[in-house]
Amino acid sequence: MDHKAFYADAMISVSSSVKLLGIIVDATIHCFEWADLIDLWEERDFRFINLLESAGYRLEGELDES
Amino acid sequence: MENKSHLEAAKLLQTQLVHYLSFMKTQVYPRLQTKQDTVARHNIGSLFLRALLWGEALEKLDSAKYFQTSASATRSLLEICVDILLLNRADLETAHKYEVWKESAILSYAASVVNFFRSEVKKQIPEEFKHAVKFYDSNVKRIKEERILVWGKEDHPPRWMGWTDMRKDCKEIDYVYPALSYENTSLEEWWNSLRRITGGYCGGHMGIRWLELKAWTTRRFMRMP
Repeated sequence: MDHKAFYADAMISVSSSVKLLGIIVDATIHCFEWADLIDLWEERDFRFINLLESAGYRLEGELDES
Repeated sequence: MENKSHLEAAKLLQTQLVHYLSFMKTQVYPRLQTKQDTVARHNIGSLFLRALLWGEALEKLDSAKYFQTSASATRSLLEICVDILLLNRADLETAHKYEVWKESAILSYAASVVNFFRSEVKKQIPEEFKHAVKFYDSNVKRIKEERILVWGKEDHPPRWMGWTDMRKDCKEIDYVYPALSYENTSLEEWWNSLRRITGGYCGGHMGIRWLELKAWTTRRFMRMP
């Protein structure tokens, strides 16, 4: 395992952490029932589902090809 | 990260992390103290703060050589996320389990201190451990009884839901929140895919065994001059 693989793992790790933070924020807002924050959170489009498919997992695919 | 798209992906992640942390600090954090009216909310507030601090720690990491710290953050955030989602069910039984588990964990630590000094080395307990012994002596009977009531045995369970494997926690969440998507998979599958990173690096053995010496000494990796 060389350092490139560790770059990939670091990316997966960070992308997963960011996504987990997103879920944690979602769940906290839901638990406290802050309706205005739910709107704000969605308006900012910080939702975690879209972005990371084009980051960590794409990186892993590219490393496989190279 | 020679490839440009890798850099773009990394920058995108960094941007998202900064936005998340900003939202957590400016919008969520100031409100936490104002509405801790249930046991679940009190605990979720504490867990949220721990997640925020992990996020801030992640933000400080500026090189891939810190992959072990990053993996520890991922593991910890996964556990925080699982706990928050389970507590979000808002039933009293779940919240009670979590409360009992917190005390049970302290007792578990205190018991190991007592056992070490009283049974193994048979020495007088040092001043810095006396608080643990006091906790043990004052609470052991009550907490063991509570353990039996909640989990059916007097030993401290590894997970507060009562089982030993976090995978079962993930399975429970998949059952409770079927609409949640993590990586277009169930949380249980996602957890499984992350185990190579979170379990391996946090355990330490993978970082040493899998990484070849030449990778450690690569100047780019270590940012040597």
